[in-house]
Amino acid sequence: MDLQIMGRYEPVVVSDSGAAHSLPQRATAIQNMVRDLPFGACVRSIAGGLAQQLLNDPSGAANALTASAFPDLSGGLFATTSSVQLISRDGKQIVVGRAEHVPALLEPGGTITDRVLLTATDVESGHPVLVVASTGAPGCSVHTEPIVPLEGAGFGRVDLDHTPADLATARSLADPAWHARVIACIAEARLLMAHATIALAQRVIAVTVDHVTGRAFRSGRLADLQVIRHRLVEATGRARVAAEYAWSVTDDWRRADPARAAAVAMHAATAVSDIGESCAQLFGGSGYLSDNWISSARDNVAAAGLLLGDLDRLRDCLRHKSSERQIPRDVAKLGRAADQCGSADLWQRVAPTITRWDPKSTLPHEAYKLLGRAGLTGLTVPVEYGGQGLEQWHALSVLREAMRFGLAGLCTSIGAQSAIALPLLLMHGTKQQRETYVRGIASGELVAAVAVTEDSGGSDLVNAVRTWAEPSDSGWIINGEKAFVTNGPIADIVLVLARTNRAAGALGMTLFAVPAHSPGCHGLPPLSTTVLHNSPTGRVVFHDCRVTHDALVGRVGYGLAYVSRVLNLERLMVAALAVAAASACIEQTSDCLGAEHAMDPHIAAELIDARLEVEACDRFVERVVKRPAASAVARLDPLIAKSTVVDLAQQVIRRCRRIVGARILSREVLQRLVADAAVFSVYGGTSETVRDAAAALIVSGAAGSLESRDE
Amino acid sequence: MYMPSANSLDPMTSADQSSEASYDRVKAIVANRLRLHPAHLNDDISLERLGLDSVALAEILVTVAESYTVEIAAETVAARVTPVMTLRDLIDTFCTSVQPEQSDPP
Repeated sequence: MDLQIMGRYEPVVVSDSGAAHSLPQRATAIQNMVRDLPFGACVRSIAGGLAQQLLNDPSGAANALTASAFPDLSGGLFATTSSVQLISRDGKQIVVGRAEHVPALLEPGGTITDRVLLTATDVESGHPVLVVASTGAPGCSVHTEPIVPLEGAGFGRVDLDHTPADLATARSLADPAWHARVIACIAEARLLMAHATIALAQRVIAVTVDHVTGRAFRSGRLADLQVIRHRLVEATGRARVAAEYAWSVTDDWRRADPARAAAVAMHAATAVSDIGESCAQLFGGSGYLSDNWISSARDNVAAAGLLLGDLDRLRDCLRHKSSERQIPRDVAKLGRAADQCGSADLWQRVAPTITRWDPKSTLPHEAYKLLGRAGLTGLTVPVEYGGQGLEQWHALSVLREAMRFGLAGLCTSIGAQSAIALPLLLMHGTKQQRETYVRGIASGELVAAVAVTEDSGGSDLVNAVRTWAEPSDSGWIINGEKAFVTNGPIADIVLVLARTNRAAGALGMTLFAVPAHSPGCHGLPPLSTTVLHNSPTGRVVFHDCRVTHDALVGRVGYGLAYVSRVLNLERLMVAALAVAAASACIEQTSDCLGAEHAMDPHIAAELIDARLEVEACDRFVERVVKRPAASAVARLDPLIAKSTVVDLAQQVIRRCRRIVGARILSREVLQRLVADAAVFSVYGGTSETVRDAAAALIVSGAAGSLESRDE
Repeated sequence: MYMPSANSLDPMTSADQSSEASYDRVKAIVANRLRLHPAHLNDDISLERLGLDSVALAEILVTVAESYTVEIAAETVAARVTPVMTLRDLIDTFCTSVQPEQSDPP
């Protein structure tokens, strides 16, 4: 059973042995086809597979398909205009009418497919019916359309003039069981089509990257790459999010849900049209026009987007989709240990307590003890250290829930511990550091801060870090000043990144866990910030601060690499919070508008689009957080999350603010969410820096791979 | 290929699991970071052209050290590595800087 390539035009539903492939297997097969075959062949394969499933015909002989008369399809997926009628006459059934833009009508080599699967209207009952007509039957004529972008898909028109229909397969869609089966098959085909489209878009990006890096390397103008990095990351980001979203639905396809397939299709269609545009721009006029592959690929992307469906009609599918909130899904799954800290009830109880302190002020130290008692400060800490032992994603789910109450500041403070300080201590700390600090943080007795950023810069750490640690007889002496330290003003333990070797660059920095009461360590009063209330942020100054050898975290010289690796987790956390904020904004907006938004089709459409974007981003972040760190895209995806996902979430938040208008004045939580949204593009590396890093990663290795191929 | 699927090119499955840091295993780690198949990675290209900056190299070093529970002296590597050196020289430097692990944090 070879799933790699199923043969040139073979449908991908069943293997040679006749066993049905699972949907993820078929999706993988389709993606491989996109890599190896003309795109039309993939379309043909999906159409053939659908026909085969509906007809229960393992030969898959009926490849051509037209389906648009069927109202539940809501357009798209081999969208055709069809006006075929089924008439009973003299005990025979005949079909009359015309079906246009029927895909997969032509076999390779130009021969016409044997049979066509059509939807028709039964004149007698008025019900839609699926019928099969032979192309060789009397009255059936086929006209092919020569100018189509999807080479190999063989589009055409079928005219039926009193053609006998194959009675054995004519079945009325009024039969609920048959109707449900057809809908499920179509939904699967739509999902496969989305995979194919996204895979093609990714190939277009890969070819574009090859082209632009090759051009830059050959001309020696590497600076050119700087100019286009924005678009490069944008296109890659959209493709990554769309791909992961499609996979999240595919992997979870036990309960076939046409609305979810429509959602994936709609998201993919929007994403690939943007990607096609970006890549054409990246190629530049002459390069684009002179490269046959890329121009035909882009035509294919455009055509594939159309096959996925008409956006308005797909949106209609989503309108009826139950608007289940995504966040509680995971919270509900949390174990007993987290029961008390996972529920929205808890936030309902904690939120007023936290906001009772002057909302302009920061969180007092005692608040951490309260949070600790509720289990919130030790979400990811292993049970052996007194924590809840949750997976990162589940811990993030708890914080995402808090965003519904507009508690971005609190989430930032807790997140600084759970996403940075705790992983650093757990992965690299000594046994003693883990026993003391990790246990203390989990119980809320200790507050941790990570002091990395300095006035000279936060993002280019290799050059920015001036804080200097010198070995002494009894340990180390630290001198320097750290800025914008989350939790800095109230911290009991500060993780400091300091230079220990001036000549060694990125390998000359070391991480120390400094008790805040050490002589020479001063946390300055918190900055008064206009956003992120309840997150104390400020300077930490080290003046001849003496610490013992026990303060060393991990190995000398490895500090920057340690920090750089956990930054990925921080970026994912920021992205998850941004998406949760966007989701909360949508919730607030529809709540604020009440029944009004159901009345106004434009606002309803905007909210549907926003929900879809948030859902896709949410699934993307979830899959990236849950993925093992060694995977090949493990470096890129957190950067995509921090740039593309945060951008998309902020767009949604802005859209909500616009829809709500002046009514925002009476909405405290919404105001806070909107105000805090800006900060998501600042911490965890500014969006600009992160985009640069992502672009560098996208083009990195291109030279190594290009020159190997040239050999 | 710039977008391999999430689970392909995993250095820990493509290289065998013995605990010694060898040329091929270090190369697999570098290739993974560049999202390339090791076979598609030319060893004679400079680090600069590969887009490997000093932070990337530091992370690769720590990954190698942790994957094979060895210690690689940061200062020794830092003194030898330059942006114009080839990937081959870099991997050789890593392999020759490996020291038996000293007192690990318990």
